[in-house]
Amino acid sequence: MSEEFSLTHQVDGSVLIIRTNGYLNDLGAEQVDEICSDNLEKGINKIVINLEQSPLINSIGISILIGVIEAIEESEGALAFTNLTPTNRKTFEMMGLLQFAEPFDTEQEAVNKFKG
Amino acid sequence: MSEQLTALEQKMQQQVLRYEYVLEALSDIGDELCRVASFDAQLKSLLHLLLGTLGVRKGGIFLFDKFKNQVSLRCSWKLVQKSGEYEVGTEEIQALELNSDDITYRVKEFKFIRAVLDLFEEDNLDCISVLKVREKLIGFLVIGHKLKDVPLLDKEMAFLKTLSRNISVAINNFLLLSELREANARLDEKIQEVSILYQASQMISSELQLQALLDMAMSAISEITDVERGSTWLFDEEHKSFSLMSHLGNAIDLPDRMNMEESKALTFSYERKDYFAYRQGVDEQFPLLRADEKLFGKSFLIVPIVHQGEFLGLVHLCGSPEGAGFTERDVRLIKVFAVQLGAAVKNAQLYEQAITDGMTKLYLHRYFKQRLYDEMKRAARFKRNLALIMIDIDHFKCLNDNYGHQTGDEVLKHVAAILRRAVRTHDLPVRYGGEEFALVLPETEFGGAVAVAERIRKSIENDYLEVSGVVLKVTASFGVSIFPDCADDMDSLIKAADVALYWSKEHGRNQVTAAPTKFSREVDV
Repeated sequence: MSEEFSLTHQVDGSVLIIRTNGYLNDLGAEQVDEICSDNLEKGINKIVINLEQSPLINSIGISILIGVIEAIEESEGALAFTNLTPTNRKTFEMMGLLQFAEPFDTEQEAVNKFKG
Repeated sequence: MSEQLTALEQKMQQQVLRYEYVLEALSDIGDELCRVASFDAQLKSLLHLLLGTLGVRKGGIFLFDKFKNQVSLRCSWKLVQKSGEYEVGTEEIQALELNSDDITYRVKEFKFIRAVLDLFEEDNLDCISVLKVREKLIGFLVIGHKLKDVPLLDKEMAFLKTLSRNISVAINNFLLLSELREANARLDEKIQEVSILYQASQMISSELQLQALLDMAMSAISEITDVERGSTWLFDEEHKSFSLMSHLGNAIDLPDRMNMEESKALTFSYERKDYFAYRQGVDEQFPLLRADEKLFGKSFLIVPIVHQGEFLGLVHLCGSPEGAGFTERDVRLIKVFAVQLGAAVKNAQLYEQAITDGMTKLYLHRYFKQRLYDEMKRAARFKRNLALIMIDIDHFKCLNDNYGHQTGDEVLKHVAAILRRAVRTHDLPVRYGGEEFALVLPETEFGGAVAVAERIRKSIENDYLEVSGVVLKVTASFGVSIFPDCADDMDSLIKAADVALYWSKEHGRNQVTAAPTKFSREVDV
């Protein structure tokens, strides 16, 4: 995968939504960590990460997501992953990520859960 | 029973998945090696790979500098402590390199590099791996706990060990590769320098004419470096003065000649016989050179032209207007080039000595013959004229007899000086022999040649010289011949001018006679 990793994010009320695009094997993925840290500092501690456009996540991506989980745990917030491919879901489960973040099929479901 | 089997199956499946995942990380390490990225970016990727594979939150990589015997934290992720350096004792290094036991330890059980590990107390590190390849220490890898501060399982320690080994190899390869790249770049630069110098040396090595040589040197220097202003000077040992030979860019402020004491920079270069650089406000060890700024610029480099310890002159180069000074490469190249230039200048000076008469500073008879031959060939090829003027001082024998040889020599020098002043760059003034002189004027027709001869005749007639209190006035007789109008070969051309000169002598001296052309066969007065 030669395409560069990129992401977009938006804040919907008290929820931060991050949509990644591309293989999370790049150091560009550190942006996810930076954006989460910035928003956590501002008190936004409910985060939804939509991984629809990142069908392949290797250990570099996992290490970044672990960092995010850690930060959210510390600030007693909540994290959700949405649109996980079956492979990603298996990996996340095996690495114990899903003990700290709930998976949803769609971004809307996750946002609704956090808002409700 | 069947339910139990399913649970076992599930566990096995999980295991297989985990191994698959670790294997994937291993292949990713291999992939990392092929990426064109900076060393630091690669290290960071390797660290992330490891942390993500083990499910660990934080970690760092220390590298070992074998020249300084120092380990320092080169990259980290989420560590509270951002730096750490430690000088490793020789025995400690030996123990680490030769230790064939495990490479992976719990940090609290690890007995080496304690001083630096203690700095990371707040990070509560879990494990450390010694990174080494073939008993060569590369560094250390430290990692924290998994989520919820859970330490690694023993099985995961085994993964860490495998991954660490691969990371060691990856780092080692990268280091070797970058050493190779650096060496390659240095080599490329050297090759380029040598080739530039070779070309420049080629250019100057075969040039025997001092003026042309120093012009060439100046343009060669402008190609070697990016210098836009500069000059070359030749040193006159007898008068302790410098003559401006060639320049690059604006030279309005530069005089043609300077006595050594007029410039501290010139004196300094002569005394030290070594290069030196000056920058306004920076090189204050030469405070007196401030006066030279007007001449040589606010930042300049002076490199002496020396041959076997003999100071021949110098090359002056002006720094950029921004006053940035000279790069190490510029100085190195100029210094090497100046050595070549020294030999070339000496060569040209010796050649000039060999072809000129020491007393009159005019060219010698043998060189005259060779040049006249060449110039006639050139004139024939381009269908141009060429004039030859033969000059003889009138009553020179009487002068010698009456006032002595020393006075005779002074008269010769006096006339020679008038001749030198009268000619253009491409003309050739010659001491033909005794009191006889010759002048070769390329691309000159009859009218022009006669006019030149007449002008010189008048100059000699109107001038005088004083030797030991006696005022002397001399005159000279002239004969002019033109190629191809008067003759087709060199000997005939000289003969024609000689005959015309004889005619002048016979008809009252102090006059110019033109040789007959091949068509008129008559003597034209």
